[in-house]
Order: sequence, then C-alpha cells, then structure tokens
Amino acid sequence: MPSVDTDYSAYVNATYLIALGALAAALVWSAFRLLRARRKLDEAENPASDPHGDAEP
Amino acid sequence: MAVMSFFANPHRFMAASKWPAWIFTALGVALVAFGVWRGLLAPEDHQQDERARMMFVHVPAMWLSLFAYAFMVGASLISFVWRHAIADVAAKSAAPIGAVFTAIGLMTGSIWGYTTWGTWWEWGDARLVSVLVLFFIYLGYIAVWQAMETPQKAARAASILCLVGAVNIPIIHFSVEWFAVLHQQSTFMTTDDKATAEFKIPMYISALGYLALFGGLTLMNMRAEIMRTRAEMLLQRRQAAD
Repeated sequence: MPSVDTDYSAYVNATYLIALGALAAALVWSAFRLLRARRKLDEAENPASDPHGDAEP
Repeated sequence: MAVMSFFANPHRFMAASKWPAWIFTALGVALVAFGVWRGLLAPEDHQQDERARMMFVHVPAMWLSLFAYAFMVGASLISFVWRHAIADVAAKSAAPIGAVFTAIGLMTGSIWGYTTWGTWWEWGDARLVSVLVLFFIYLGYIAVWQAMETPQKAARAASILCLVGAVNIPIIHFSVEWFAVLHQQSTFMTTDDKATAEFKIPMYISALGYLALFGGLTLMNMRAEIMRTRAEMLLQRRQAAD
C-alpha cells in the first residue's frame, strides 16, 4: 500500500474544488445554451429584424 | 395524470417554468455555498478525521446521480408509453446534469479512497464499477440523442437504453450488501445512523442544494431544448415556403 500523507487538507480542498468547478461549469453551460436557444428563436420568429445592426439603411 | 396532460403542451410548460428555472438555480447556488461553508467548518471525525469533510461533497453527489437517473427512467417510461413530448425533453435535459453529478461522485470518491484505502481505484469493488457503468450509461444516452437521424427515433432508442440501464440502479444501491467490497455500507438514514447534527446538517444542506441545482439546470436545459426545436421548425417551414 502506498504511503499517504496524513495531512489531508489538500485532498479535502481538491474534492471541494472539483465539485464547485463542475457545478459552475454545468451552470454556465446551461445558461449559455438557454441564451443561444433564445437568440435562435428570436431570429427565427423575426427574420426581418437585424440583431447585429449592420444592415444597409 | 392531470399534471402530465397539462404539461404536454410546450407553451404551457414554457409559461410555467420560466421563473422556477431561475429560482431553483439561485436557491441551489445559495444552499451549495452554505453547505460548503458548513462542511469546511465541521469538526474532525474521531475515525476519519478531516477526511470526513469530503463526504459532504461526495455523498450528496452520489445521491443526486441516482436521483437524476431515476428521474430519467420515470420520464423515459412516460415518453415510451404515452409518447409525451415534454417527457422526452425532460429525460434528455436531465442526462448531462446527472452525468456531472456522477463524475463529481466518482472523482471525489476516488480521492477519498486514496486517503483511506491507499488506492485511487479498485476494479474488484462492485460499488465503484457499477457507478462507473452508470456514468457510461449517461454518456451512451447522450450519444444516442446525437447519433439518430430523427428526434423521434432518438427519443425511442434513448428511452429504451434508459429503461434497460435502470437495472444498474439496484445493483449500485445493494452492491455493498451483495458483494465483498472495499466501500463502506450505507449509514445515513439507516438504523446504524450515529451521525450527529454537526455532520448531518452540512450533508443535508449540500444535498438540498444539489437537488435545487438539478431542478434549476434541468428546467433551463428543457427550456433551451424547446426553444431550439421551435426555432428549427420555423426555419424549416420558411425554407419549405421559399
């Protein structure tokens, strides 16, 4: 059995960082997915609108 | 049944889910932050010393990985039997969130295992291997949705995969009783539960936070999926008209 350091703080902190990082990533991914879908739906529902404002007057 | 019929209409679902998606997410973030704070301040355990603090992350993540899959099984069953459009979307949207909780459970469990058993992974342990199988079922389910030609075929195939994969859930739960494993037996909410409030409070707060986040993020993904499908339908209709 390999020897494991008996100061476990780094391992404890690593578990919290992994969990918080993964949950934050899931939150950001879901929010971006929702924003992208909303933008796509807006463009599909209002094809005449120019969301980027770069059309010729 | 009445609720199921009510939410069969995507417009009604979209109207009803707008605020709950953000409220559950905000509640989840607040509870997870509170759970982390209480978890890191929890006293050392007489047997597991500060390693016990890893449990406040690992155990609720594993609970949620099973809960998310049970949710998907319910939604897949409704989809398979009644061809309920929102049930398909619910199962599809819950899958990546369930996979994230399973990944958290596997990684944090591996770290705890290293500090306790001296090994990051043990292939002979039925609990570890059955949870890894659950993670692969989640990935397979997500892949099936991407691989099929039409959403209808994908929904059917994904529902079947999800229902077949449900056999793994009791195996995960009872693996510590059925097989000789390194993993300890369940103690929380059993007759052997000797945990004090100092340990139970951060555990339950974290679990509630994870549950709220699961609800909020699944609703967000469901809303995104419905919007994306409607946008694609409108674009196809326009192309056909042109």
